[in-house]
Amino acid sequence: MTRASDLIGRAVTDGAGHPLGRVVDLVCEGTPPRVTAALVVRRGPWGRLLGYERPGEVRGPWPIERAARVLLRRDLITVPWSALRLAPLPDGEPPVAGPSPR
Amino acid sequence: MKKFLGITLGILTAVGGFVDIGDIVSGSQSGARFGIAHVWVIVVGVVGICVYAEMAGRVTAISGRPVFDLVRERLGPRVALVNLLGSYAITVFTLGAELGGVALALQLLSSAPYLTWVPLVALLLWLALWRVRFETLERIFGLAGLALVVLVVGVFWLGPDVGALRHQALHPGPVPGETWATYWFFAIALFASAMTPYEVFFFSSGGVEEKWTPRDLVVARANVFLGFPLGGLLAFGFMVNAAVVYHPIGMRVDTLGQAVLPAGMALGELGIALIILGVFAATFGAAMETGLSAGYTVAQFFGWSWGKLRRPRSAARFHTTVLVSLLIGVAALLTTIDPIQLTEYMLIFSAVALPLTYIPILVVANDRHYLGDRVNGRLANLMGVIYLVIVVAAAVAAIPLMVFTRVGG
Amino acid sequence: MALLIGFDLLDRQILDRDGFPVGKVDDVELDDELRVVALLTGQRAFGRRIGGVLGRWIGAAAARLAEKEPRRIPYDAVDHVDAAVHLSVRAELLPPPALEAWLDQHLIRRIPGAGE
Repeated sequence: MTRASDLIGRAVTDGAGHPLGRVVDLVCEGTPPRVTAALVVRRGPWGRLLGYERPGEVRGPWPIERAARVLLRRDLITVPWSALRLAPLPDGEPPVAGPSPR
Repeated sequence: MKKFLGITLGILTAVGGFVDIGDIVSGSQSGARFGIAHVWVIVVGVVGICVYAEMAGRVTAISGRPVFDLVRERLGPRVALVNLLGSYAITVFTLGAELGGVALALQLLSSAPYLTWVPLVALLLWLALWRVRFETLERIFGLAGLALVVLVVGVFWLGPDVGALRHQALHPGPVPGETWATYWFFAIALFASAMTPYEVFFFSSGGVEEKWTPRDLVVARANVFLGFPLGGLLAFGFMVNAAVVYHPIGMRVDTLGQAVLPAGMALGELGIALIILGVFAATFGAAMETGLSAGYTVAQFFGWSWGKLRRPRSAARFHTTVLVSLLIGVAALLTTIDPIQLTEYMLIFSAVALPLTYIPILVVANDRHYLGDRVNGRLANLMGVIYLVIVVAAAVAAIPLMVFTRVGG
Repeated sequence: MALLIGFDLLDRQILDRDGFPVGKVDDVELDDELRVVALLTGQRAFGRRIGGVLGRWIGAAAARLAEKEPRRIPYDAVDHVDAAVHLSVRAELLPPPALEAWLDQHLIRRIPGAGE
């Protein structure tokens, strides 16, 4: 049994081991929801974006939105879960293999 | 009549927020030392709290949720926890100061030292928060606090030098004997007391206690736009009384007794009776606000059931938090720290905590998930951003000024 | 439409069928296929989510309160998610919050006027 908090914030690499960044959120599809992709930030601090990740729902005021995008998220990409590998945890656990490819 | 009584929440919030013991003494001190040269700060503070309280009230009326409930969603649990701990500490020590203020008012009436009144006041406060209905508390203390209007009326009996007052109002800045540093120190203290975070959280949670629906948006707004300016007017009352009585003779105000004396000079025994009643109601109201806010913010952070609208057994954690907060406030007072000094420190620390409180409110008020079409328009966002800048400036300047002027010197 | 676990679920208020607050979504449980199976709420789940020294301390305090495992709400009890997570069941049917029950038992219930 995994918890979302075990995955969010983890460093991830691609299939070949090149670092991609850190997981910032998990994208789910279907009913019941199943994780299909991860939002990964390449560089920059990881933190809540105050809600600006989702365009259209929270809008402005523009100075805050701009500041949030600049300060908190520099490079945000969506990576399908099957293309990810979780990097080893700092206390030396061996790398967890990515999820069973579907 | 029902409509009129509907705005008592706003009045109570404003009275408890604007004329608590800190405002009474810092308003009076500022009046004694600078005349009414800080009146613009009160105006700026009133506009600021109106802007943000309107947003908070709108969020609550439309979504049925209190604003602090939403802070954790926006900031994330770690940052919101730091926010909670900071604002809880400030709220609880302010609660202690308000209890001290109530006790000081009773000391004025009875000559028994204020510390002997503290346990009784704390018990009364706890009983009120345990059993008395929210609306009843609102009405009694909100309306009794209006007795403070005697301050504003009484000024005319004191033969004020209107020309001198006008000069002070139009020339913001230090008077002879004061420096720009102390001037700005008092400006920040007055501003922080106008925009204390617990006011907005209390107001929003109070809206949930009153079961506001989208139809109550008008009531919510009336509460804000009538209640807070009224509170500002009462705060100004203390300032102008001190400006008329103490400033011309160069005397400082340090005690509650000095702050209420002018009303007695103007209107005799009736004046004194009304103003002490008003001070009692305002400080007791502020003690209720801070006590409940301490419970509201902790419960809303963790997602617990809360509120006086539920019977205590359905909100055990909330009521325990309120009780514990009261005990901490009493303990702080029993260290015999001067309640007035305690509040001044708390004001400065509140100024530092303001940005972390107001940023999420501004963000939430723009979220269509909660507000649908009623998100902030351009004006609300413009005002919100302007005040955020002011708030950040005050937060940055607060502690250096406090150190530099040695707490106002 | 895609659901974002962090944005749409985590740290949202959970309300039961009658609008009674149940807790916050402190964490989300996933099975081996990474399907969302349950919502986790309560001190233990919160402690583990925060992590660090403070998180461990909170979790340990919760364990001492007889909270053997975190409060778990199966995902199929969720009716819909908007500004809050709305359940289709009443709060009484869910595992009760340990701290609330403990305080009610040992403190609140003993004070006169605690409940009609």
